[in-house]
Amino acid sequence: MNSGKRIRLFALISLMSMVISQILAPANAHAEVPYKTYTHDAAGGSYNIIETQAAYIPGGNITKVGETSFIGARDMKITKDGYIYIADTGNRRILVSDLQGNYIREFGQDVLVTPCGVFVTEDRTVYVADRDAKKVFVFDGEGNVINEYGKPDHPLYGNEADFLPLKIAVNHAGIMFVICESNTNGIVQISPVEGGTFLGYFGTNPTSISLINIIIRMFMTDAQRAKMIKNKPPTPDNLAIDDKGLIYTVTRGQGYQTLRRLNIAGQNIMDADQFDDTPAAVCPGNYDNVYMVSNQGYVYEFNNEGNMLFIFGGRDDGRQRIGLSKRVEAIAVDYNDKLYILDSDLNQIQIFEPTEFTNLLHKALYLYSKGRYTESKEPLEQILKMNSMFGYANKAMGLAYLQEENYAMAMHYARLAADRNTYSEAFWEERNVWIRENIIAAAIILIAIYAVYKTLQILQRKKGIFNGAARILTAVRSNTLVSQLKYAFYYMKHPIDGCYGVRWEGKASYLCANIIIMVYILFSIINKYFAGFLFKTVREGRYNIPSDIGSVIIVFFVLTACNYLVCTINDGEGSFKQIYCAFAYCLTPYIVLQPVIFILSRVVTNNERFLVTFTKDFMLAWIVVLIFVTIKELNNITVKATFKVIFLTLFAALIFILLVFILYILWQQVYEFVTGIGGEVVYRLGF
Amino acid sequence: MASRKGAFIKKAIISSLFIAFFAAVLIWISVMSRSFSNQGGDLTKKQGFDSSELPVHNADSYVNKLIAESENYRMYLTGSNLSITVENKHTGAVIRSAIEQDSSGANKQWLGFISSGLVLNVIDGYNEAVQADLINNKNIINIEETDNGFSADVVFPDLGFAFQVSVRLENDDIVVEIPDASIKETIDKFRIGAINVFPMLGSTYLGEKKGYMFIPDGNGALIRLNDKEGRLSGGYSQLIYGDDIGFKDQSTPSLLKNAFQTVNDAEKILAPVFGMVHTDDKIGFLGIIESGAQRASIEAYPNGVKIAYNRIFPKFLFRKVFKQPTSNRNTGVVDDYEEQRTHYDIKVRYRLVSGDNADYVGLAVAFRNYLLDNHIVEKLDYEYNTRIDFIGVEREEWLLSTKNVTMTTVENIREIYNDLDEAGITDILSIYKGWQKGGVNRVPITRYKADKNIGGTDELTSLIKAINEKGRKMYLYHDVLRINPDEFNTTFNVVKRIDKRLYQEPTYMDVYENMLYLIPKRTEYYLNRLKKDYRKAGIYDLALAGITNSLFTYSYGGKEYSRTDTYNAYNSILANIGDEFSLLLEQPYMYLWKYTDAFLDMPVGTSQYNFTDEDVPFLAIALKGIMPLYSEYMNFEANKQEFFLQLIEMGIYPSFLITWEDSSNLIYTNSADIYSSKYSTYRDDIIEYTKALKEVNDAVKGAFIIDHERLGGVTVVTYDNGTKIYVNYSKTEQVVDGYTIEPLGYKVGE
Repeated sequence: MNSGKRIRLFALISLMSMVISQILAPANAHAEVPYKTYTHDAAGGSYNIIETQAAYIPGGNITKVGETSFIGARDMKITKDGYIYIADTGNRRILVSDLQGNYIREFGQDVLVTPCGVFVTEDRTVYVADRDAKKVFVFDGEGNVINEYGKPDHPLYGNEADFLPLKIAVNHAGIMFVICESNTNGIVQISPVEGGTFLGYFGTNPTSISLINIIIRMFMTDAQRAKMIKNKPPTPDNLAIDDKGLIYTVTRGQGYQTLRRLNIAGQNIMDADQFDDTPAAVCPGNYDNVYMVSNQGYVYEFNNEGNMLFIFGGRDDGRQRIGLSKRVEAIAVDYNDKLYILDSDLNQIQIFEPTEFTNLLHKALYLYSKGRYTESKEPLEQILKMNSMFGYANKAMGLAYLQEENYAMAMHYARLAADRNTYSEAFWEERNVWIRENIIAAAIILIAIYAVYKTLQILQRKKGIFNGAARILTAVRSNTLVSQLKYAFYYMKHPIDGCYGVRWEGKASYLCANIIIMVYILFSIINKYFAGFLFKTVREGRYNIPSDIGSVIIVFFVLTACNYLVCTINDGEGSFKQIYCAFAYCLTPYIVLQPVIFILSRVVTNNERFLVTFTKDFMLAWIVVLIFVTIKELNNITVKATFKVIFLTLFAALIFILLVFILYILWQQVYEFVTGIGGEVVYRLGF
Repeated sequence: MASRKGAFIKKAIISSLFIAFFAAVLIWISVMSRSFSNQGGDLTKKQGFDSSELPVHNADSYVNKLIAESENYRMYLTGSNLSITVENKHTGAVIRSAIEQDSSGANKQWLGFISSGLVLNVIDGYNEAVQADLINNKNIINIEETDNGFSADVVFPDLGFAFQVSVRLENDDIVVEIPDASIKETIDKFRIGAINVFPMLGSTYLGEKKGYMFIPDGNGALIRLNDKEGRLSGGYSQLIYGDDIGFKDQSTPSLLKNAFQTVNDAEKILAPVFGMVHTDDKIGFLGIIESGAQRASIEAYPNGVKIAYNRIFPKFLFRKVFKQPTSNRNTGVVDDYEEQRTHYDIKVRYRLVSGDNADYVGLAVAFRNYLLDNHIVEKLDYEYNTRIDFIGVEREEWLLSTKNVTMTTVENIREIYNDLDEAGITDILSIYKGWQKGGVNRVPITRYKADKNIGGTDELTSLIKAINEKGRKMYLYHDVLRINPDEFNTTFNVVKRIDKRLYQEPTYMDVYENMLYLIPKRTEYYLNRLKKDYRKAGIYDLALAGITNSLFTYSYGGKEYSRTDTYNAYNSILANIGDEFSLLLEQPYMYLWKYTDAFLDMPVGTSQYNFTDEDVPFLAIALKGIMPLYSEYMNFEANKQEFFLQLIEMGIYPSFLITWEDSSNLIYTNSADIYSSKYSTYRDDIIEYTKALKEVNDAVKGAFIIDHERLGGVTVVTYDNGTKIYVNYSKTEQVVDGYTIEPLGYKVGE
């Protein structure tokens, strides 16, 4: 009862001081913040990082709590009622202040050694992870030690593993999640029963091993392998817990899974689409959003699906500008959505205030997370008015319209956001509507075409109106080039016969092969840049035609040349021309099937995706078989020898690339040397 | 066999020795030739001064001696360290240029610094960090009294430096001058790097006095003179008129994802002013650099940065040491310094303010008076306008090259004007960007030739004529500094840095990754060509950018050009074109203010350094009423309401960047940072802002700001026609002078 009153009193005081401070705070001009803010232009797989309005602006800082300052503080938590708990590592204590930096109290000086992590529960119990004391201390609201937990005495914990707690989070049941230094097994999970029961490791990161490492390990002796750095999973560097008891972790050097949200089973249930190499801390926000901050001072905000909303902030680098950081340790958010960032080098807490723009976004996030899509449209529209490329807003708009069954608009926004799932769903519906509306017309047209065809056939039979055209056709067909091109289609179906034709009957020419390659290049470019949205693999609006053409030509020539060279020393009988032309013919399935795939890609949705993928696989298999048969038949070798030739060809190509690379490097060195001397001479002579 | 092998080795050794010898000779020759050239080919040139050349040292007879007197002030001189003391005759308040009794325990070097009227940065060999002051270095000072001050010949015999400094008290001004012609450097080993003028003028110890230093960052910022308790590690040190791109920035910026420069550039110093005010003594000064600003910096350090004093002073740069790479990949570098000293006279005017004028408003008013009295700007007669800039054409990658992305055509602009006309909005001034063939980034513009996609040249001409007929203006935008290396041949006429390496300005964008700078001569050539075209077409309104806020050292054709050269060149280019054309200059530096019809992109805020305590509208107070001030684009403001209030407070007119098409079309262009610009989205904002701001600004038309006060959340701006403007930034209703001002609102009162 007493403590309850106290809390209320504190809350009242803090509220009053909030109001007063807001009135007294001089209006500071923030026309331009020192850092830029970025977002994604799309919420789907392919996105750009683009600039946007400032999401948060610097709103003062706390360098002192009352009259005392903190040194090298490593952690900080903010409670819902507006108190900051600072793990003042350098002064071996926990410092409590209000949101304005007024001193409230301090505790723990007599027991704490190196407090690195702090956690405050809703009933104001304070958990402190103390690395050098090798303990987790629990304090009550007054700052008295009510419990302490040392190294778990459990066989599963491991005897060798030390207990050096760095960061801590506690769930509603009082179960502690502790990150320990040099313990790579994962987050240590301790239940408070019986003076601390070790429950096991939690949320271990997946190990990853690269292909190169696998190859290197293959050639190593056991002794060498033992010497190698063990391939252990990186441990999370920091963690946080949200109201639902879900744990967020951040891990350094992890590539795309820097930020993870773990369910009760320790599995990651969030796919964050941005990462940072040196994340420092994470904290859940008030709208199912989550903030991550990097050591360098970049702050990331994500929605609950892991779509990046904002990146802002940055490194100070001697610029001495407000809002930039030197070494960030912790991040926290208060009930007003202000962000607090603890910097252990500058020894300050920098405060960031959300802008009008961010408040709109948070409103939309809130409505959206509650499933009130239609209502969320209004703030979203305002956001898009301010930044029409804001990926998340476009995605949410797409979903809202989808829910309203306005499929055309849903497709429009989903495409802007590169949100393929929404697009596919809307497209499916849209296509249905189209089919329903046009099926009769289509049927009529089909029948009409059939009727015309039949009529023409009859006319041809009776009057021979197409005889002239037929004569031209025969003339064209008898042309060598045309017949060679036609032969490609025969080759596709009968590669063994085809090879015979190429070898002995002169059914191929360089011109014909080059035409096929050119058509191949043309089709691949068309497919790459103009395929249906759901199947497009490159970013819209990006073109790199020279390299597309160049890569096809280089690969084709290198492989053909290598194959020819390898074949000649393996008793192959094919000439270069024959191999070149036959290989070109092997690409015919692509020319036949790719248009089909292209058209399919523009009409199918994700539901019928297999149609495209299957056709693609089928086409690839066909080409591979053709190439295999070609090599075998053209050179008149055995199956075994064919495998050998293929392997050697690939090997030769690899050596060729290596050679070019080495030559390039050497030439670069020579060039550098010569220009260096030239530069020195010119400089010394003072031209 | 073995002997043959031995012979081969022998041969190899001998030939390599030959080569080594040859190389040694070559290097020796080159080094010698360099030292020849340093000495002007005269090997027997003497080093230092003859004793007969030296003046007589008479400075010690001046100890706090009254040396000049004006209506309001007295000036005293102490000769040995050339320090002055200025006293207000009526109040007795003083400002000193040196610390007499140091209580902070500064070391010998710092003691020399804080006790000298002039401190030199010396380049000793290649070492830049050598200090020469009047305490620690042997010096001879010969003082001669003049009508209203003194003139002193200063000689550093050991360093071989000599120069003359004169200090005068002219009414309320102290004027300090060091003529370029008087500066002598007579020993090869030592060169003058920089001269700090009165580095401690008005300085205070920790929090002993109340007041602030004024720095010209953005619109203006204050550093309070309170005790900073050692929290700050650095202060303000910025080159006036922007950093010098001629010298390579040594720091490599930390980029987000190795691609994004996340930190906005700091604001450039637009006017060479600085100030110090002791509010409890009611005395202060505004320092105005009258000559030499092109290569000077403003240095302002709060206490705790190196020493315990708050100090602000100008530092005049003459030379710098730089790294000269000897290979293209920066594998080898040697130190070098600038051969030529940058030539200019140093002239600083300290305008003293006392009594009620001793605050930042007083400084700004003093600056305005200075500008008008010296005809640096003339008061223009002008009306309120909303600035609407259009983007015509941009380019994105397409197949083998690039293609146009048309954003706003001539027809679109016509439609926008008509639409706004119907809504009753006629006060518009606009700038058309990217009208030229090839779009915004096809620079420089060499001919008057509009892109076909916006309608072509004739259409554009007739649009401008039509707009002019209604008494409005549309200016064609020209970046006359940059050249796009992907669109033009840039083998010649582009700026190289002092180390003779090409200067490339990264855009951090995809289509065109870098821009180069044209040498001033080339800019002039293109402008002259354009002049003919425009004359023929009858177009006389041009908006210029690039050269309006750039100043740099560069090398071209084996010669080095200083910032003084660039400064003179740009001045004459603009004087030349300004005669005939009416110009709008983009965020112009002070020396160009006289050529512009309006101040574009007036900064509303500051760079937000962690050592500044308050932002003040210094430039706005000084220039409001003289010429129209236009803000930066409102599109990109996250806090629109607050920005709007700031415009009202400072009397700045709003600017919009408008395109007819949706800005998402720009995403694959170099203008991808324009993320919001569509006309239909901004139509209502334009109408609303224009109506509101026109009303406010009509009430203060032609008037000057005479007071600016912050009372809690409300800012009160007083004009000399009696109008008062109240702006409430707080989230609660406020009552001031009987006016009730709504939260985040404003009121015009009497």
